[in-house]
Amino acid sequence: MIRLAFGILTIVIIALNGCNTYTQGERLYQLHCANCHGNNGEGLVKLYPSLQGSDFLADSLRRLPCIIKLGKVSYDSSGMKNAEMPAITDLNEAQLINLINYVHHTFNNQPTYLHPDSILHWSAECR
Amino acid sequence: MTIAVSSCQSGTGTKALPYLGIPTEDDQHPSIPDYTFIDQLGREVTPGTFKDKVYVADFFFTSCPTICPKVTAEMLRVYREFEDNPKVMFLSHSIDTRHDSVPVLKKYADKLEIDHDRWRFITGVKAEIFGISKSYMSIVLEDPDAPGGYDHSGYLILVDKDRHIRSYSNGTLEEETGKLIADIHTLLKEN
Repeated sequence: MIRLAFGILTIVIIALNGCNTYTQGERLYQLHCANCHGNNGEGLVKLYPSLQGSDFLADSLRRLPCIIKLGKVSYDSSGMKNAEMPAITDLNEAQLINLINYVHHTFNNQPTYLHPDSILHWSAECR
Repeated sequence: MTIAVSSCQSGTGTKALPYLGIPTEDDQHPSIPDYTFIDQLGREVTPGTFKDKVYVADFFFTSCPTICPKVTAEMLRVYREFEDNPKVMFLSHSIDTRHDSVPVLKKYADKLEIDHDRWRFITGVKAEIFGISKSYMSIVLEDPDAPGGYDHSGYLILVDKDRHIRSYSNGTLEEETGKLIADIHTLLKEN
């Protein structure tokens, strides 16, 4: 009976944790990113890139912490500036980890949770 | 902001759109004054550009990091609703005349994949753009402390063929766009 109770308790804890894994990340996404990239990462035509299944996003995972912290400026073939992604400068480490895990989970369709140490390691490489 | 509304009934029994704004001293409906701006292809844009058309106007700048992406997304929704109706046009005023040159506006319009004849993105003399914003019941301010350097309201303003404002929506609230679209349909039924 006690074993059963522990079992149920464990399942409840796992379920609750599962629910909450991406909650802060999602809120941060809605606050800082959804304005341009859309509530569901759909982007806006060619003006603001879609994140849904984006090759760039999938290929740039290591650079993501720096892109978020420093912003991103890119130029087209004629040398004109594309829409500039502003830097998000006021995230603490936990928020950065949660935001990246939400984006990775939701738009790269990855069930795996990125280890915080990896994200912080990539983040430390920002120049 | 005070908005005086005078409503009237059309002959068909459907409710006509009101005329918005404070009536002039001689009791006329307020209207958009004359202007000359330059669009994304370097063409002059004047009230004549919208002759016999209704149009939706807004104020924005291409590097705006705050409300503009949402407002532009809602403008685009309205544009797509009327994409096949040449009676409806669109006018986006850039308030960042320093940065938003004709090529910058052209690139912005290209990336939205819109018809350059139907949706005009304009630049011009800064004082004239800031000045005309009041006629559209919009607020435009240069503010070094604001993200991107400007404060402005994000309304989509519906103007009839006689240059009167007939409806508007808050472009940051997607739930208001449906009503604006319905109002454009109503306005198009007027002669």
